[in-house]
Amino acid sequence: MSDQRGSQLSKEEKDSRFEAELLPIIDSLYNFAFRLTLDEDDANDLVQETYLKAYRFFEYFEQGTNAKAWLFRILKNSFINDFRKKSKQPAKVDYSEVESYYNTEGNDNDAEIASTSDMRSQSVQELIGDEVASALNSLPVDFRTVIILCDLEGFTYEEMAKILDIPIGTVRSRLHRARNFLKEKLENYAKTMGYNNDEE
Amino acid sequence: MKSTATHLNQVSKKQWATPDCEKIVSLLDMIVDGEATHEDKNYFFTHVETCKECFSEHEKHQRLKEVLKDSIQRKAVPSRLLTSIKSVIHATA
Ligand SMILES: [Zn+2]
Repeated sequence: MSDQRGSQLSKEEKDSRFEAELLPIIDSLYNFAFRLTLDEDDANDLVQETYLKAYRFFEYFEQGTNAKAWLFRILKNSFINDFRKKSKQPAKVDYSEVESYYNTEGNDNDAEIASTSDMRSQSVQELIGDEVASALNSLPVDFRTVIILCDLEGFTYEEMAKILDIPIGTVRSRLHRARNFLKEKLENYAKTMGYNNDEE
Repeated sequence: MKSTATHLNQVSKKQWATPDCEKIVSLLDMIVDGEATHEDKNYFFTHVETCKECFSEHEKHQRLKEVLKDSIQRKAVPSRLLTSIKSVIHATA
């Protein structure tokens, strides 16, 4: 590890180090922000705010340590402190729409389902993608967060515990409950669509 | 959102055939996330070889992880965002 502290760097050196180490993470960070806020403009603001905070505290960031986890932690805290209060939870998710969709369960008549409005125009892959996304979005934010961090971003339990300031045991139990919920949701969906996903 | 939260508490209370199965279910996440110890892995896969229900539960857990990774679309970062971050930073003392 370098003994050159951020505070001793010239403005130019600091900027180029900052850009080289932290800006490449912007893609993951933006996607995290979008999955939390479910809104492109909010995600944009949240990422911008995160980088400004990171710049302000860059001297506390130890070179060679986990930059991605550090930025995710800043973003998560900004989201809790500023964004969550402003917006009344994920109002953008139309949960009732998802719900009523599942209530077609009684009709496992393929023909009837196939004739439903715009279903034919979409490919099966797209439909599954949409369904997975709405299932994920319908999770309360604490549960959604652990799925994003673990399954979409590949963080370890230890990293997640640090990002979220919770014990590893809590990370595990949130993951478990979130996954059981998603499994059930997507299984119901598969049944509705007439897939037999027990076939190996 | 309330119904989802309630539901999240309920799904974990599913009853399992044996105490062994219960332990297996509690290991599922660590197994699919590559966080299980060597010992836990041995215990897990030995059980799963002979228990149909746990075998299928593992399959589903594994598949869910893959489906999430594969089907959640990544958003492209707006190019103005990167530009604006850089310019704000350069202007900051
Ligand atoms: Zn079993």
